[in-house]
Amino acid sequence: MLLGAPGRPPAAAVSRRAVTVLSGFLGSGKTTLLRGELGRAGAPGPAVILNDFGATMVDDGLLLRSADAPIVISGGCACCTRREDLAKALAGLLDAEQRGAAPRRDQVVIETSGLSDPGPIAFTIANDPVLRHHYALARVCVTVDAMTGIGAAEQHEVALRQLLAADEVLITKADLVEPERVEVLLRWVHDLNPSARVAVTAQGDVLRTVPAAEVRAAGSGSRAPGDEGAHLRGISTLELTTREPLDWQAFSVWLSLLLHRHGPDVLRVKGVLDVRGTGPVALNAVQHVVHRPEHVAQPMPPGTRLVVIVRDLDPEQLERSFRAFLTIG
Amino acid sequence: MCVLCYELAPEDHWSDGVRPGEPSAPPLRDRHRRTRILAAVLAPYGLTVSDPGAGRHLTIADRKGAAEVAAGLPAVWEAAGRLSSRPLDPLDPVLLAALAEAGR
Repeated sequence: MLLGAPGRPPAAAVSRRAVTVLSGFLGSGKTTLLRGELGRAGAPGPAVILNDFGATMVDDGLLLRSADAPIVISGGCACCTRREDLAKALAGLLDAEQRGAAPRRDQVVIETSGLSDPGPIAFTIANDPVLRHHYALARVCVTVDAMTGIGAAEQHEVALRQLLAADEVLITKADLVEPERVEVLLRWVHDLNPSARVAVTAQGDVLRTVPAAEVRAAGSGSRAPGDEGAHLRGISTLELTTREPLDWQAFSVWLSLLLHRHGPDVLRVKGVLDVRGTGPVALNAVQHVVHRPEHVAQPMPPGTRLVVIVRDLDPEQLERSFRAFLTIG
Repeated sequence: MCVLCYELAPEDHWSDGVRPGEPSAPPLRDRHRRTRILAAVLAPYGLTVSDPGAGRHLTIADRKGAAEVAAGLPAVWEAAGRLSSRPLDPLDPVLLAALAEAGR
C-alpha cells in the first residue's frame, strides 16, 4: 500500500530511491498505518524519516525496531519553502550508504507531522540539485479519519491541502463508524480529488481499495466537491480532456503562465497527457511544484485526461483558456 | 556556468522534460515553436519576443524599445510582467479573444 506493489517500482523511481510521503491531519492514524506496513515489509525494510512538532517525540518510540531506527527531524513548518532538515536527513541516508554504514534502501517513507503541507516536501525532493538524482517522489499517501476527516478539511486549511496533494487517500478507523458513513466519505474524497486512489483501512490493515474516479468519457467538466455533505467554499475540481494529441509547447506555456499568475490558487494538477509526436506523458503538480514529466511506457487509451483542482478560479474560464492556448498555431 | 559563454546554468524547468516530435527532429524546431507561441501570448500586452539563438535566452521587448533578456519560461513571465502595463494572465478575456482571433 504505502510501498506500492511488490517488484513494481514506480516509473519515476526505477533507478532512484522511491520516496513515499505519508501525510494526514493530526490523529488521523499515520503511525498506526506505518507500523502495520513496516511489519509486513520484507528485508531490507524502507528507511523511515519522522517529522513531528513536539520536543519529545512519541512516534519514533512506537516505530522503533532494533535494526531500523527511524531518522527523526523535529520542528517543521507549513510554509512553501525548501525543507533543509529533510534535505539533510535524505543526504545523510546517502552518506551512510556510501560509507558502508547502511545498506542501500530502495524505499524511503517520510511520515510528516499532522500540520505539515506536503508541498514543501515535494519541492525539496524535486528541486535539490543532488537529491533529485537519487530520490524520486513515488506517491503522496494521506490518511483521513473516518470519524473526523470531513470536519478537519472544512476547518483546517492544511488538512484540505494534504487531501488535495494525495495520490492515495487512506480512510482510517473504518471499523469505528457505520459502513454508510464510509461510503459517504468515499464519495466525498472522490469528488474532492478524483485523481486519487482510495483505500479503506482499520487498525492498519487494508479492507478494500477503490481506484481513482473515472474521468468523464465525454468532454470536460467541473464540479464543486461536497455534494454528499461538506461544502468547501471556492474549491473546484476540473477535468480537462482532449480526444486528439496536444501540442506540448502550447500546453507548457499555458500551464507555466497559469502557475506564475495563479500559483497559490492552483492546488493540484495531475493526469496523463497525449503529447503529439511523443505519446503519453504523466504530469503531476502539487500546488506550484511541477514534477518532471515522465514518459509512460505502458499502452494508454488515446487522448488527454487532466485533473485540475483550483480555488477561487472560474473553472469555465480556465477551460476556455486551456483550449485557446492549444489552438495557437 | 558555461566556460565558453559565461552563462550561469539556469535550473532545469519541467517544461524542458518532454521532447516532442521524432527523435531525429532538430531541437531548434521545438525552440522556434515555443517562441512563436510566446509571441502570440505576449502580443496582446504590447510585447514582442525574439530568439537571438544564444544559450537559452530570449529577448522580451516593449514598443518603446525597453527590453529584457530571459532564460526559461519563469524568467520570461517575470520580464514580461515588468515590461507590460497590465499583469499577464492566462484567464484574461482580452488575451483569450486575441488567441481565438489569431486561430481563425
